Amino acid sequence: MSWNPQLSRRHALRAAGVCVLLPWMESLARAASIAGPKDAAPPTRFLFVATPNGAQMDLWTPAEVGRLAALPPTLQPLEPFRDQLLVLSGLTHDKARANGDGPGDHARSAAAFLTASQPLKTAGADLRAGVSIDQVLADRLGARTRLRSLELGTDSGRAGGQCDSGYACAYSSNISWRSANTPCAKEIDPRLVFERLFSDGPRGESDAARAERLRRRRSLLDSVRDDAKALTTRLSTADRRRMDEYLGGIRELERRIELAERQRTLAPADAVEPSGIPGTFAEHVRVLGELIALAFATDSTRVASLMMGNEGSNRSYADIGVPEGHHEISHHGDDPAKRAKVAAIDRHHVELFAQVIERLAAHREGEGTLLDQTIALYGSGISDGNRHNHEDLPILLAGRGAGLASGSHLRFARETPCANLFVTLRELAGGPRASFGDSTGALDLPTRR
Amino acid sequence: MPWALLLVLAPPQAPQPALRDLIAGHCIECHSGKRPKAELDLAAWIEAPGELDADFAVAHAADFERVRDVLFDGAMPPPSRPRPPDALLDDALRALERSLPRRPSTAPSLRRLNRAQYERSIADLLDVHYPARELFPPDDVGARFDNDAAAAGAGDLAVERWIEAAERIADRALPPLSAPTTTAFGPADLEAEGGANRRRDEIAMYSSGAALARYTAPRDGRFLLRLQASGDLAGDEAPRLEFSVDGRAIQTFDVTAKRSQPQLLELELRLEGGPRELRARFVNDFYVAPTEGKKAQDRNLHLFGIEVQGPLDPPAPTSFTRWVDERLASGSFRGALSALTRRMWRREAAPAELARLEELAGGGDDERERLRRALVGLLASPNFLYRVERTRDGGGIDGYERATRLAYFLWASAPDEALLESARSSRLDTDAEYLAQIERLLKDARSRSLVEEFAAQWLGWRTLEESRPDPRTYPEADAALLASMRQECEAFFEAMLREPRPLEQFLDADFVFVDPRLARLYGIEGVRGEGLRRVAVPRGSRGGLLGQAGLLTATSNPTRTSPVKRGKWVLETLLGEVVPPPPPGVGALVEGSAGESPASLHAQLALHRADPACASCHAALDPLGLAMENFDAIGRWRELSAKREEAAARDAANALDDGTALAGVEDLRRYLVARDRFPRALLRALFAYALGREATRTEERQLLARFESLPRSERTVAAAIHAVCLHPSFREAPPP
Repeated sequence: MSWNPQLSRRHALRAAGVCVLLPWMESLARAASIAGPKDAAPPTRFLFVATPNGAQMDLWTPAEVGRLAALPPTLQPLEPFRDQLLVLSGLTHDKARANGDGPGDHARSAAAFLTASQPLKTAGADLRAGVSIDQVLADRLGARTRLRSLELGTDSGRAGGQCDSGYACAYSSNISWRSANTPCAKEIDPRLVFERLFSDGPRGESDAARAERLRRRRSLLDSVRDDAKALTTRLSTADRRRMDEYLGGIRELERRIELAERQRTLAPADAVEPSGIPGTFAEHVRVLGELIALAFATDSTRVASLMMGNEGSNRSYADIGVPEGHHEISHHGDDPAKRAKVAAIDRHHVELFAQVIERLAAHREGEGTLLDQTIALYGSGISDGNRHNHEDLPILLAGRGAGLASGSHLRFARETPCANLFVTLRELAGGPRASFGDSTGALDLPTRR
Repeated sequence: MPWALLLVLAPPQAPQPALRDLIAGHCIECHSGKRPKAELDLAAWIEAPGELDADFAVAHAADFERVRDVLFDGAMPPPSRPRPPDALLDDALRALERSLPRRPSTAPSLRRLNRAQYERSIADLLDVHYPARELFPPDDVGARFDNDAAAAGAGDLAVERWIEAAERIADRALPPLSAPTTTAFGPADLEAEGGANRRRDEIAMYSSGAALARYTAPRDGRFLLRLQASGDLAGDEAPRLEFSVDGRAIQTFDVTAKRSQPQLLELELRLEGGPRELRARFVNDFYVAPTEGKKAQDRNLHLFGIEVQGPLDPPAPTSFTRWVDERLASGSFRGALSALTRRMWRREAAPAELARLEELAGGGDDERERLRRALVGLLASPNFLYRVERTRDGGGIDGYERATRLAYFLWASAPDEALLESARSSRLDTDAEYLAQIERLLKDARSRSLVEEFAAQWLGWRTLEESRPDPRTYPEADAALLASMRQECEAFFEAMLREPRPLEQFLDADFVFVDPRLARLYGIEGVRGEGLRRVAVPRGSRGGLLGQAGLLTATSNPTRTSPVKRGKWVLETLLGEVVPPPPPGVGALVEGSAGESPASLHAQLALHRADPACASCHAALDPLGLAMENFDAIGRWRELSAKREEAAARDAANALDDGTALAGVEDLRRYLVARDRFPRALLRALFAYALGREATRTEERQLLARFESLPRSERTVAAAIHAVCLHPSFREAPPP
């Protein structure tokens, strides 16, 4: 694929030795001399979207295996992108099952969703799940972007009370895990996400002032790192881990300064700065989706995750005629009226996901669109919300990143670990074939090559 | 009262034989032989020769715990059997506790400040309001509270936010005394919005549109703004320019000057430090299309530039800047730095640390600026972000650490100068001073955190806004009513905290706090005018926690009540029991399958009792919640159906295992008062909040013994707080 950078008028903002970070292809030419060798083709982006409380599988699963001729009711909002979809049936998260740990399916399914690891049942101390696939990918893809990865959601962690049957709230409210013990806190306020992506010092800051600011930031990080190290020598193992988390965060900021010294980040002229958390759920998801598209388009990050509500969410969807709580009604007990309401929520969430996909499809990149360079996973760690089972999960991929050939419905053998999909995703990202969580192999996904 | 608590500090020695006497006399009959009840065989406990030694206890640790727990809860011996004398029971319990092997604990000696503590500390220490609650990632909830030591992690995002906060807070705490500067925004620097166009030399506003200048104010202060503009006149009004800051309109100007001689509009105003949006908007567009012989009438506005000059005034002194200036004026820079470090890190700094901070402060003559740079380092350091308690050989915590524990318990904020001074001089080690400081902290307004942080989480109204009653089912439950509900919960707890009221009043009080909205909901007449007020009600009606709409709503589903949630709340919060999670494989029969009307709800809940797997817990849970069914999902009183069969179903479901019938909230209230478990529940919650971990059974017992040594009328919230402060685990012990 050949690449012809179109230079923007904002090119003029470039000051000596400092690049303005622009959409990926634009910064390419200029960054090349500074940042070392750059990719020859646009990079692959990965997006992971979790929807709570499972789905009604009879309305989710396409009737036929093979080419996606028609979409089932729940997936119909994705019709415009039918040839960009891979619906994957039959995948299982065994690690979301009790396996002797008793109830707590919601907490477990969120914790296992991207980690494929059995979370340790604890109400606070000693969180443990596993590193999640998005973070594994971020390790590979995040080194050259300003943010390693972006974790977003619509609900903050719970403000009080307990979460799910003896599991710490962190399990229900996170899918991204930086290490086996540390979930990545997610951001819910779009304005803060925007600032994080694009605020690089005050407007009109001179180069000298900026350099001075970065220098001061660097010596600050040096100083607090010394503080943390001095503390570490006197700590217990558990506390040392806490300090390691702190030091990890400091290292990430140091990396960002190194990048900032080479290139400057400004928002694209047409980007609208969000003003805060929108009043409705649908608008909230839409704005977060736009930010993901913006972050991908400007190559600010290549990996993102989005939780459409914390697992076990009891949100009321009065807007679409379902005033009951989501979790409450997902235990529909086969009552047809309640099933219809759950179906409405399932479809609504797919519709919101389709909007995110649309943003990616609307952005031109090279000869195609951003969606052509993206693999977006959508699904849940629970299959049927009424039964809390974890086999035959609702999982689909959208986008044709990394040469994926899409437009079909694949069915895998019963009990095929979802982790096998993650093994394949890592390979598609250029990583080695290596086991992940409870994987037993890789999935054979169709590619265009 | 506090002195009375002090007297019972030393644990009495208990004789070993008590345990054997108890088992031989009261337990062995059922718990021995071929099929001992509950698979607990106690024969070996009385047959073993000599004393039950440590090895025996280690070998039977699990059984020791079980026996202790059931004795402690009074669950054994069963009610049908003779009750052992209290003295024997107490002695046996002590013997059990002392012989239980100590398990290694993972409780950390680092406790991260949570968002609320951070925000409060910054406000108290530096006179800066920094919205950490909005900007930092949420704190996870561990042992019921968001300040749990073990649940407090630090991800990359948190660290990023802390570093950013350190820089911004230091800027605002010690603003530079710099001379005013002038920033000019020409057409190229302004953004055109709406019906405005950017041209080479102006922003032209032909229809409703605006010009935006993004200005970063170096600090809070007064600024002079100059706008240069002209207008095209048409219609019977002059073109009007509305000037706004961050969307808030400040002033409007009529712009009548011609293009050739633009008008200078001036205004002086206060700006908050940081990025500001300065906007000039054209608000009265007017246009009449040309007709035959008549030219078009077109009113337009032209803006040529905006100039900002400032800050004009010196930064307003705060108690913190005065504190800094005093120290810089009276001593060396190093002395001031050392005092600032003690203030921020809650301890004396080591020489190496001071050297590091001096390096960060850099050179130059401006000592205040140097101190500001050091302050960034102090704020970003783990020594501020975490409460560190050092491991000492054999010793307890030191005075500074004790002061810090007290302040974060009673204020959710940092210790003040007086408390740190008390620690530095070792006065805090004496009983008299320690008690005096507790009194002082409780009297201080900052102790309001016990309402907003402790009680809001413990009693559960913090999740009130999350419960989102369905607006169609409950149109009256708007944001204003929910806010009133929360205020009532706060006011009631605050009254219980500050007034000498015995704990029973939590369950049955003769007053409520209502405003007109709540009064309407409660059916109380004669309440007019905004704001909450205390209104007397007869005992056994709305007064107390059971009648508070906020708590009744927080434990409901969006469209209906949830007897299970309410029952769980009563059991856990008011009775202090731990409700075990449902057993594996359940989940199909949950609340979702219940109908909407209370009658069918009762019938559905009856299914809980038919299934043995559910019945073991729901038999204790559901009747408690069902007894509150007279309150709907937003806490309004309703009459339940009087139809005979529905009433019968209700009655059947409303009986507890021991036969207690709970026909309604009145019975429930009496039952809770009689059980008298509330003090234990409160002590346990206070302890978890104070120490960031659950109390062990031993600690819980000690707390309760101490508290119950007080006469009934003195058993207040304040006394419970004293009991926790005086407990050796809080006052003396290093983390376990």
